[in-house]
Amino acid sequence: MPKQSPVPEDVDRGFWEAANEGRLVVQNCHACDRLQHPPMDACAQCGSGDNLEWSEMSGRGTIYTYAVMYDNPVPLMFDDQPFNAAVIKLEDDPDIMMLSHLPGTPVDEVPIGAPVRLVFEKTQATGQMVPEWEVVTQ
Amino acid sequence: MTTNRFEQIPEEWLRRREGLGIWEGRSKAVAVGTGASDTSRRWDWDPQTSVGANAISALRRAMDDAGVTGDQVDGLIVVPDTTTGRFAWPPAWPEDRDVPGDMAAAFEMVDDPRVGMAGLSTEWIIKNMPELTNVEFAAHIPSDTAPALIGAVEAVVRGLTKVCLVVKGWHNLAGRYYVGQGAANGDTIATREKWSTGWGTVGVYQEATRFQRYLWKYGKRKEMFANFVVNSKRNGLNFPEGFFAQNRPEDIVTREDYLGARWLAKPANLYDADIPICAAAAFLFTTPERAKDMKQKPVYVLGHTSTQPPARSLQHTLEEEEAAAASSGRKLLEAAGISVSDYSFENMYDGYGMFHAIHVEGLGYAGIKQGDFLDFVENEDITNEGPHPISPSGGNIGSGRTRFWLHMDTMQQLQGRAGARQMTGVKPEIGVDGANFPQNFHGLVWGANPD
Ligand SMILES: [Zn+2]
Repeated sequence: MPKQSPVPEDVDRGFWEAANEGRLVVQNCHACDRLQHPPMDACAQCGSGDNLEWSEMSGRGTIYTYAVMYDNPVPLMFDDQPFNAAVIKLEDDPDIMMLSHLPGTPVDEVPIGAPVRLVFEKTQATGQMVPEWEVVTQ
Repeated sequence: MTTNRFEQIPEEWLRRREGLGIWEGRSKAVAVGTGASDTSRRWDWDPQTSVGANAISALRRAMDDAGVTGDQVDGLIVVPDTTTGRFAWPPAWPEDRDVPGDMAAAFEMVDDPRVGMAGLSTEWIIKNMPELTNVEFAAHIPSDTAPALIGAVEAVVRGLTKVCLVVKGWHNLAGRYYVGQGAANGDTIATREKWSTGWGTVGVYQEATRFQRYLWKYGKRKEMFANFVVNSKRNGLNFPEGFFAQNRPEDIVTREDYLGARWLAKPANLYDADIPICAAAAFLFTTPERAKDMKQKPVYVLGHTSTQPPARSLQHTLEEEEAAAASSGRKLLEAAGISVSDYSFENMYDGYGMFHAIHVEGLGYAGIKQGDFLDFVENEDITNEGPHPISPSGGNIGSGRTRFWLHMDTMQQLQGRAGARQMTGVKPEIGVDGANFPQNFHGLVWGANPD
């Protein structure tokens, strides 16, 4: 479904550049050995921005929870209401969460706990690729 | 007058950690009076219904309620923020009138043109309330009523003020919150909102996902929540200061209404959310000694706590929310030096309604443990006539988005003057309240007696 194109900014440029190459990266503080997402200017644990790097993820995760959006704020998505909006936890670090529309999963038939795999979708305005997630069927 | 413009409450005033023991200020500050302005759905652009006018109205009613005159007040705490929305300033003024001009004719305005219409300040209040001649301590405490009440209580305990007013207002201008506003507009998105709004999620979404997880984790059904909402709506209609009692007294909400309501972010529907309104409330705090010659019975503040853990990632998880609520529950008991069975009632925040469950389970009120709330509200008597009132104020769901009905009701219940809401199944001796989300929480324990 259509999405707004995210505009890369200094703090998250690495994420979006990697997405355009089909890779999922998450910010890592190598001093703390700790991932964080969304990206920030400094590590939330040690407060330093000097040790942040981009760390590549496997692209596997599970559905932590979801809601079905009937009243979303983005006009670009009005025509697609209602739609699933799930919270994905990454297998590499279940503390790290991302959102997904779960393409291919019917509205409100979201299996909490199910494994998901990474796909990328192109957004229309700028062509920026964004990560999405599909339920892994047996 | 020197105004202490706190950006936050001084950190040493807050009780964030566990293990601090009984609060040293216990029962050294009391609430005596409270007052609310009239309410409305949206501002009609009349200066006399502006957030500034409402704040003045609430302050005067709180003073009258306590039997205090303006010259006796020496402390004033104002919450400068009066919206949760994302409206641009200036707003789209009505074409046929000059609202800023009308305001300037009706009130003494200050440099910031929003103040009085879409914000408040101590300066604006004092300029427009000439009866406040002796304010020596004046402070801004941001965001919400609960932290402002804690600020007032600590200010009294610390001897900075003997008679302290607190005021919080809400303005609601024309337009819809969030929808098509700011980051949501256009075909590109920048700022941190790209991670949330970018997927079409905002407002109730995060709480809806936590509630979905809750239903899954504990094997419960959404329908089990209906009785809580019905009861809150009923309590709201018995709250004469509230929006629905004043403006839509026929608006009784039944179980069927709840179950058939329009979805916002399923499993959250219209009745799980609150409606934005225009309203203001004020509270008067003093010392127990000074309260003796005031008009109302004093309500003792037995303890307070604050809990604001950051989210580990994109949004707080259910587990983070539950842990925060449980920590608050323990800290409130510890501060007040009581046990959970001492609570006669709870008035925890409810806007969104769903996390009221998490708050109550965190307290352990009425023996409710994690995962128990829905069974409790479905099967037990949770009315104000029963042995374990749940949200006797009716909260935001019952009376509109203010985050202060809970405090007002706690006071009135303990003073025995809650009218049609007055609880009868239990003698109100100790109550607990606080706002807002469990993970962004300031709470207080209140007693009808100092012990
Ligand atoms: Zn670090």
